[in-house]
Amino acid sequence: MPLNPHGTPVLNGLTPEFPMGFIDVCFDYVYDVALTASQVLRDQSVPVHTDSDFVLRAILLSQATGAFSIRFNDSQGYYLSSAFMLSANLLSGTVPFPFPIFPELLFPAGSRIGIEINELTAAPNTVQILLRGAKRYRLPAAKR
Amino acid sequence: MPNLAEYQTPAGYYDLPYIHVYNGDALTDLASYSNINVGLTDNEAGFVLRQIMGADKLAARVQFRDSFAPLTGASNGFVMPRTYPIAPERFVTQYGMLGMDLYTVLRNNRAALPVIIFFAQVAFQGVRRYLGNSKYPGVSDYKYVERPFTYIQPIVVNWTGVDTEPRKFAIPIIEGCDFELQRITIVRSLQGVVATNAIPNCELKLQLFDQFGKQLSNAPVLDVYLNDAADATTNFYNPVFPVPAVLYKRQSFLRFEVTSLLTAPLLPSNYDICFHGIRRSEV
Repeated sequence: MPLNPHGTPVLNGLTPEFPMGFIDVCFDYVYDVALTASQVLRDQSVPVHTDSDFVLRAILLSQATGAFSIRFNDSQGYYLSSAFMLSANLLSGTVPFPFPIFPELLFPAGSRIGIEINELTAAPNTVQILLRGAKRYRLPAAKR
Repeated sequence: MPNLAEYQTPAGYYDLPYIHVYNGDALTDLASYSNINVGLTDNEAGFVLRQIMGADKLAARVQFRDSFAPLTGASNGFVMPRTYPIAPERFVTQYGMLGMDLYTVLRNNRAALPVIIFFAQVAFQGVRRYLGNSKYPGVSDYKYVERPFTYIQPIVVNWTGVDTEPRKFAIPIIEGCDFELQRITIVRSLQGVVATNAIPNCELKLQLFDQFGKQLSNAPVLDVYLNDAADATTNFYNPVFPVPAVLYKRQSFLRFEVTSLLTAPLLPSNYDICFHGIRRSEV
């Protein structure tokens, strides 16, 4: 089929390329929180399922009723930013837009995606964030 | 990492760009539904799912799952963005299924009481994968140069959405040149007696066919899921269709059908439907 230069790479088809012995399956972890006015939450975590590693490729703000700031870390204590990032960084105008994580970040099976979040509107704030990426399953070893 | 090199359809198969739609017009508002089979595949072809659009036209929160696993870890659904890319793509085999949960249904509609026209539609975009020659639909059988070209079809919609019978149109592929369709734009030029230059917002549904008359969707698709001229803020679904491009050989027809979603006060409405692409001029 002729490629369509107007279409996104995803729509045209991305050639699958995984580490040897693994396969990636599209998956999102969801962080849901109902913040009270000016609430500060530390040590929040989204547990990574034990069936597979997870590669984080983008963060998408799917719902928020007001402004907040946020910081992510992995289970090794590696922070993805030097300070809290305002939620407007996750928008394009008023439309939520995927915030790319590049290069992708690997979270081992059974680990956690750490989150710290501050409510900034002095009012209740319902937030949902999609942690977009893929589950990386280990393929059965080939028989010799 | 995903690889941006040119995608290759597996040997022995060919891909047809396709949008599978699920119409929730008959559901009940404020109800929730579990494990709806959206019927993504047919007996001949599997479906490569690459993008989902428009759950906001149907429900507050959604969850999807194929025969293998759910697409997200949400326990009671998630608020889907208007356009939701699936990467890596999910292949649903011809015997597989895609299930959908809907939480708090709220069907989009247009009302001129007592008439209510519903357009609660979710679109699953990707390709249908058929057994056959991977070179489908084949290269042009002559030497050519490529030049940009647009077929423009003005249409007058003078029937309401109560009449669900689609009107058929066919554009002849002329001038002895094959045509590669890459994208579609739709602009409303007149509504009633008022001249407009506006992007239609759920005013039409379109059903497209390839040069052999094969459907490119299972049912008519909402204009906002096809219209690449979409308004950046109110109608933004980032739609480009068809992807990959579709070839119409010379002397074939670009066929499509139009379904109205208008109410009587909006009649008549005139639209320019533009089919943009590449013309392969013989040299």
